[in-house]
Amino acid sequence: MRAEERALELAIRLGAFTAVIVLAGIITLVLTEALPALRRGLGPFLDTVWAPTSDPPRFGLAPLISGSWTVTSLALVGGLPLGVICALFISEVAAGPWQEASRALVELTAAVPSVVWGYLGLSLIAPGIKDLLDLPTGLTALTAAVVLAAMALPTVTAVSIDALRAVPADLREAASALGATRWEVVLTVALLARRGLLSAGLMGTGRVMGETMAVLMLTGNAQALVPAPLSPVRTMTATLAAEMGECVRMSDHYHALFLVGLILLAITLSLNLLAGARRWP
Amino acid sequence: MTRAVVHAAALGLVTVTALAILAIPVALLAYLLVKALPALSWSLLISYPSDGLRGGGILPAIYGTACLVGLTALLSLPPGLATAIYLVEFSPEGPLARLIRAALFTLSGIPSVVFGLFGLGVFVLLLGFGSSLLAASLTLTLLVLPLIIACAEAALASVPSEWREASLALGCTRVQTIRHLVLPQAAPGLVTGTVLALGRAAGETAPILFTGAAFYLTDLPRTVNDQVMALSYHLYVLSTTVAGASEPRKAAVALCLLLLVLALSSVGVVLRRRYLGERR
Repeated sequence: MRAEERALELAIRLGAFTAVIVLAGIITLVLTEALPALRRGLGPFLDTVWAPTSDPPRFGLAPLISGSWTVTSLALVGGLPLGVICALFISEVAAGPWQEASRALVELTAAVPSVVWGYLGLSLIAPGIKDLLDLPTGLTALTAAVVLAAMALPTVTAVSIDALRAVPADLREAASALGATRWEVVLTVALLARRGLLSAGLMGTGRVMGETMAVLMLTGNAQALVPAPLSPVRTMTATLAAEMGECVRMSDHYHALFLVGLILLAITLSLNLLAGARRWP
Repeated sequence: MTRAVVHAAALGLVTVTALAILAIPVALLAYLLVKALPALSWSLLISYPSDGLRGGGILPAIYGTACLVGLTALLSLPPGLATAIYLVEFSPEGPLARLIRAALFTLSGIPSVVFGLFGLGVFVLLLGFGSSLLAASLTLTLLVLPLIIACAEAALASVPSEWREASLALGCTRVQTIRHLVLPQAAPGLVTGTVLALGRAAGETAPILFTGAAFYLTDLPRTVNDQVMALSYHLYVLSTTVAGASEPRKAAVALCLLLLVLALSSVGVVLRRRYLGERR
């Protein structure tokens, strides 16, 4: 009995470290598989073209990074304000069943798989943008950004709601007592929660940057060093998803892809660290 | 007076914008339903694909997703439970617990495609599982770990501490208290977390792309070493690589996947409200 208990306790203590081990494992693996790519220095990666299967292969990272950045920033222009507006509505304006229903809708939106968003983008948004703006193709940075804005919304909204909830109720009452209109109370609360709202924005950015399937399906995957919103682009995530399955194991291409993964991991981890540091002061 | 009018208008604008945004998921679901209608039938769900994926049913994809989700649940529950028990019962505030919490928060922000890279590097290549149901499920397990632990933690924390103290005062050991008192009480909350995690796992595509998803199988997988078709990957394939796949067919696959995921998530959300209180 005692031995059995001690074994169980040991199992729990060991099992508890799964997350730590996995996190360390992910970082170690991506690092060790990416480092061989840097054997010959940074030179090949400063190229302006990513063409790993051409002869000679070219591994310029700039078009991929700028592609990711274009899509992400476009998506955030729409997603961030709308997400915060939704949070303000749910936390400060709506009450009773409206509040309940709105929160449930946000949670359900968060559950929609990214590949379904991709399909909806292909069948609704892409043709719409192509006809509306008279473009040769509907698969553009803007198309992906519209869908990504919708995908970022639940994250931004949920984290923003937490931030707004953290503002003490007395401050709302005090503002009302001083003669503030309801709108002024809402603005005051938003202002008081600004740190939390900023961390919602950072987490939304991380989420959008790491999004893969919808981007893979909607950006058209043509690279451009200086991408325009209305032309196809190629992101880091889409490149990984499209090429990792086919590349030769342990080849230059394989290691270069892991280098892309390393950059992606570094960006998303720092965004999350920033958000976490702001969330828990 | 004008101040009141302007402010009321601003508040109204926020309300209208928020309601319009919240209506989007409902509108999209309706759109999918209408579009998929011509392709919906029982035979779609229970027969094999034919004609290069353009005709027939999607049984292997449904079965594959069920296998992935089931195996992921089995694999994620033990480490998830162990972590939650450690965090709640053993050492809620210690430095190790803080390390674990930080790791979980960080893990939840890692893009799913990076989990795919890890799965490829470790499960497929290093451990030699190959592209298989096992490698894909293990990858999904790591992905859902933060979610399942958060729910398990809430479930354990919802058991009143007086009960634990009473049990310990009666002479039960800590392990006995956890096994016979805390776990049975927390069971509904644990089920909730598992269901939510399953909803997440069922919809993921990027982590299984290079760890176990198959383009086209004529037979169902027999062992965990076989590749599997999955609804999510199948939708990607139909939308991008299969020329001439009909629109209703794509919409029908999207609808099946969406309904499966939404069913799991809404059951999870309702259970969470019920057993874990208002948390998010």
